[in-house]
Amino acid sequence: MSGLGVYERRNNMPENHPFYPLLFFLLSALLAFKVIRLSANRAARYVLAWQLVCIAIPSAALAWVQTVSLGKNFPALGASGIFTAFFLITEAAAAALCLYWFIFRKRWKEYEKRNQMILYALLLSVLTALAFWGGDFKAEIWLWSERFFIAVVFYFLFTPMLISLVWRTSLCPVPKILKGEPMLMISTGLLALGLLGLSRIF
Amino acid sequence: MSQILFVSPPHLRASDSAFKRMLIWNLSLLPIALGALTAFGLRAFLIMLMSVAGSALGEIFVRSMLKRKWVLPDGKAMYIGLLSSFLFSPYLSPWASFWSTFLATAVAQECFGGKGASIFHPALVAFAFSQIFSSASPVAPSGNAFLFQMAEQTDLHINVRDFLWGARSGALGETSLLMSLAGGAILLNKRMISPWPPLLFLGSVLGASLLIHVNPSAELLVGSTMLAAFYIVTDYETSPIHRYGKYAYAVLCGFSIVMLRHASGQPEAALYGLLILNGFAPLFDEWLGRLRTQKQHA
Amino acid sequence: MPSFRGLKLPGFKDETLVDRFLYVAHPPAIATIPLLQHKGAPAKPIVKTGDKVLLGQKIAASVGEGSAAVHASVSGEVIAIGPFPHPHLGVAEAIQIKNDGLEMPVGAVPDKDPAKRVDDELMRIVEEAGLVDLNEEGEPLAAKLKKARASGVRTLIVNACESEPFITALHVMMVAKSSEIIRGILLAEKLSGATKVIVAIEDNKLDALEVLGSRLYGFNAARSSAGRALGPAVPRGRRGAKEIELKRLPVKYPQGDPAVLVSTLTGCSLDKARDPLTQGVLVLDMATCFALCEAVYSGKPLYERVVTVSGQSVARPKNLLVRIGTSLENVLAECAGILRSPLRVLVGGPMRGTAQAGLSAPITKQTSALLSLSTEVEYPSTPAPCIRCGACAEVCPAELEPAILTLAAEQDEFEIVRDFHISQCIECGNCTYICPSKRPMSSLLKYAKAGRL
Repeated sequence: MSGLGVYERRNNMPENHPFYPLLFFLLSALLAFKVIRLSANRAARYVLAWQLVCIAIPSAALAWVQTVSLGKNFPALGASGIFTAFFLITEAAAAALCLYWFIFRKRWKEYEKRNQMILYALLLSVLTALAFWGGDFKAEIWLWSERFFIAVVFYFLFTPMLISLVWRTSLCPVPKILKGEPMLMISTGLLALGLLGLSRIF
Repeated sequence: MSQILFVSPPHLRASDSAFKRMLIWNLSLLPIALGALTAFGLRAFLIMLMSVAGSALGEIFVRSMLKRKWVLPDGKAMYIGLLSSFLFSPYLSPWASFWSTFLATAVAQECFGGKGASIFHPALVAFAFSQIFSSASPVAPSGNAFLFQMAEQTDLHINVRDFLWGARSGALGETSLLMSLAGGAILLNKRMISPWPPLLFLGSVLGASLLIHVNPSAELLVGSTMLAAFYIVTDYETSPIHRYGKYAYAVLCGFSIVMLRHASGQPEAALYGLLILNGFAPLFDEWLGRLRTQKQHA
Repeated sequence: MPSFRGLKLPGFKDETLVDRFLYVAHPPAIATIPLLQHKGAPAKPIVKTGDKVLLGQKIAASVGEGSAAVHASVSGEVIAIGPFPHPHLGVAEAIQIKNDGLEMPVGAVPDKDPAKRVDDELMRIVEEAGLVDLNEEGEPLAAKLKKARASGVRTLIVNACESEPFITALHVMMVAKSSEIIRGILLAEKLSGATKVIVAIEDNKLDALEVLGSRLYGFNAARSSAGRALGPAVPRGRRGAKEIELKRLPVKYPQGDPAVLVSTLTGCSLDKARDPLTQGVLVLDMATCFALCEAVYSGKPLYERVVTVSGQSVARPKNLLVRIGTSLENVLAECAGILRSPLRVLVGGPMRGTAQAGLSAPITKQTSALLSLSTEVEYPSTPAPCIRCGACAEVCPAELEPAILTLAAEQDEFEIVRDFHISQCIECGNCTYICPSKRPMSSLLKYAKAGRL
C-alpha cells in the first residue's frame, strides 16, 4: 500500500467535499489567533493545549476506531450523535477548565484581556461543535468521520503553527496599523491559500 | 583634524554585504534558468520575464501605497521572480505568471514588512496563486504519471541520465537536475549556505521514502526536490535562524515533501506542504531561543 | 578545553606589532588627571589650585567603596580643578597640573624583599598606590584582592590575551618586562590566597611566549627544587601554587574578555563566568600585575601605563609608556602624528572602544589603546532590514540569537527580548561585525537591555 490512503478519493460530490471542515477550522483558527494575540502567550497556550488534549486526541482515537474497525455498517445517526455528544462534553470541560483557571487562579477584574480570551475560547468551542453537528445531517457516517479525521489533523497542525505565527508577526517591521489582527488575518489568508490548494488536490 | 566621526562601537565590519549575497544567489539561479530555456525555449523566457516584472512591480506598488522608500534594485525582485518562475508549469500563461508574482510579492513580502520579514516564502506563495490562475491542467502532464508509475515499482531501473540532463518534463526549474546541483554548488562554494540543511533534507527524503515503501531514487531525482533542497529549505528569510533550527526544519521539509506527494497523488503538492511548513519555521527559533542548554546554565 | 564561538578578526595578526620595543613617552607639558578613573565614586581632591605637587604625590583620596586614589603624573603646580574632557564620559572633573619639568619624585621607598611584609601591609601599599584594574572596569585592586581572599579563591588567572584586535601592549610588556610581571603575579597570588596560577596567552605571540616561558620555566624549577619554600615573594611555610602554568589559547575574539576566558579555562558556562569569584577564580590583567610589582617593589604609585597607539592612519604605530593625564593629541604626536585624515579615533579597542569627538581628552588608567582608523565602514543612514541569514547567531559567544533580539528591540517587544536571555549578552560586538546588512546590532542590543528594565 502506498501513500496514506485511509479514505478514498471522491469526484465532484459537493456535500462530501472536505472543504467544509476546512472552512470551519479556518474560522476557528482565526478565533484562536485572536485569543492568543490578546493574552499573554503562556496562558493562551495553556487553554489551547487543554482544548487539544480534551478534544483532538479522543476524537482522533474515536475516528480511527470508527473508520477502521467498525466499518460502514454502523447506524448513522446513533454514532454521530455519540460523537457530537462526546465532543460537546469535552469542549465544555475545556471551557470549564479555562474558567476555573482564570477565575480562581487569577482575579477576574484585573485581567481584562483574559476575560476576552475566555469569551473567545467559549465561542470557539461552540463554533466547532456546530461544525460537526451541522455535518451530521448531511453525510453518512463514513464521510463524517473522514472529514473529522482531516479536520482533527489540521487542528493538530494549526495550533503550534498559530503560536509560531503570532510570535513571528510581532517581529515584522510593519506600520502600527498593520500590526495585530490585520497582519494575522493576512497570515491566515495565506495559510488558507495553502490549504485550498491542498483541498483541491484531496 | 578635518573629520572625525563619532559613532558607537564596534568600529570594524566584515567585508560582506547583503547586496553581494543577493548577487550570488541570483548568480546561482542562472544555470537553472539556462536549463529551463533549453528545455522550453521562448515560453520559458516569457514566463521568467513576466515573473521578474511582476515581482518588481508588486514591490513598487505596495511600497508606494504604504509610502515607503523603494529599495530597487537590490536583486531581490529578480530572485523572487526567477525562483517563482522555476516553480510554474510551462503551460502557464505569461500574464498569469505576472499576476502570481505580483500578488505574492505584494502580499507575502511587502505586507509583512518588506525584505527579510516575510514568513511565507514568496516563491511558494506565487506558486499557490499560479495554481488558481491556471485554467489548464495544473501541472505538466506526462512527467508525473511516469513518476508514480516509477514510484510504485520499487525495483524499476531508473535512467538517471535522463533526469540529470533534463529529458523529463515538469515545472520550469525542475527538469534538469544537473543545473540545480550547479546552482547549489555555487552557493556552497561562496559559503552562502551551510551544507548541512540540504544534506539533511535529502537524507530525510530518502528516509521517508523508505518508510512508506516508495522508490527513493524517484523521490530524490524528480520534480522540485533538488530545487527545494538548495533554495527553499536554505532560504534565509523563511528558515529558522538558529543552527539547530535549520537542521530540524530541513528534516521536516524532507519528510513532508514525500508524504504530501503520496497522499495527494501529485508531486506539486509538496510545495503546498512547504508553504505550511514555512509557518512552522519560527517555532524552532522560538523554542531554541528560549531554551538554554545544560552547558549554558551549568 | 571547550571552545566558544568567536571570530578571527583582522588586526590580530602579529604584523600589527610593528616594533617590539616599549617606548617611553615624554611627560606632557600639562597633565589633566581625571578624578574618575575607577568604578566607584570620583576621588576627592586633597590639593588646591596653586599647590606645588611632586611626581607621584597623592592628589585625590578615594571616597568609599569602588573608589581609588589618584596621583600626580608630573611634578609641578596645580593650575586648575574643574570639568575637562574625558575619553569615556565626555566631560568630567579633573585636576590639571602644569609640568615644571623637574620630575621631582615624592619620596618613594623601594622594597627589595616584600616577602618580609605581612599581607595587610602590602594591601595598604596597594591601596595607597591607587591601583585599579587596568581595563575598562576599573575595580580598585586592593578591594578586589580582599574580596577574592574572603571568598576563598582557588585559581588566579592572569589574562595575557589582548582583549581586542590592534592592541599589542601586553605583548610588548611581556617581552620587555617579564621579570617584573612575574613578580607582580606572585604578589597577586600571595595577596589573593590562590593555590593555582594560570597565565593565559594567545599562541601567536611567539617571542613573548619564548621569553615568558623560559623565565617561568626557570622559576618553576627553582620553586619545585626548593621544596616547601615557594618562590621569592611567598614566605616560607605557606603553601602556594606548585608552579605557574602557561596556557596557550587560539587567537579568537573575544578570547581576552574576562568572562569568556574564565569560561574557556574552567569549562563553566559564560553566564556563571561573568562573576568569576563564584567559581573560585580571580582574573587579573597582566598590566595590572605589572603595576602591582611597580607599586610594591619600586614604591611607585599608578601614574603611567602602557598604551598601544595604532591604526591605519597613525604614522608610526608604537607601544608607549605614557603618563596618565597626557592628552591624546600629545600621544599621537609621539607617534609622528597622523598620516591622513582618520575616520575614527578610538580610545580602547575597535570592538568596544569609545569613539572620540576630539583629541583633547587625556589618557586615564583605563586607556589600553589609542586607535586611529581610516578604513571605510558603512554606517547606513536608515536601519537596514535583517535578512535573517543567521551569521550573527553563528558568532555569538553567549550563543544567543542576536537577529531576533534586535528585531524585537526594533519593535519594542521587550518581553521577547527578556525571554531570549538578553542579560547574557556580553556586548562583544561580533554580531555587528559580521552582519551583512550592516545593522547597528550593538546599539540595538544596548537599547534592548535598557528597555527591558
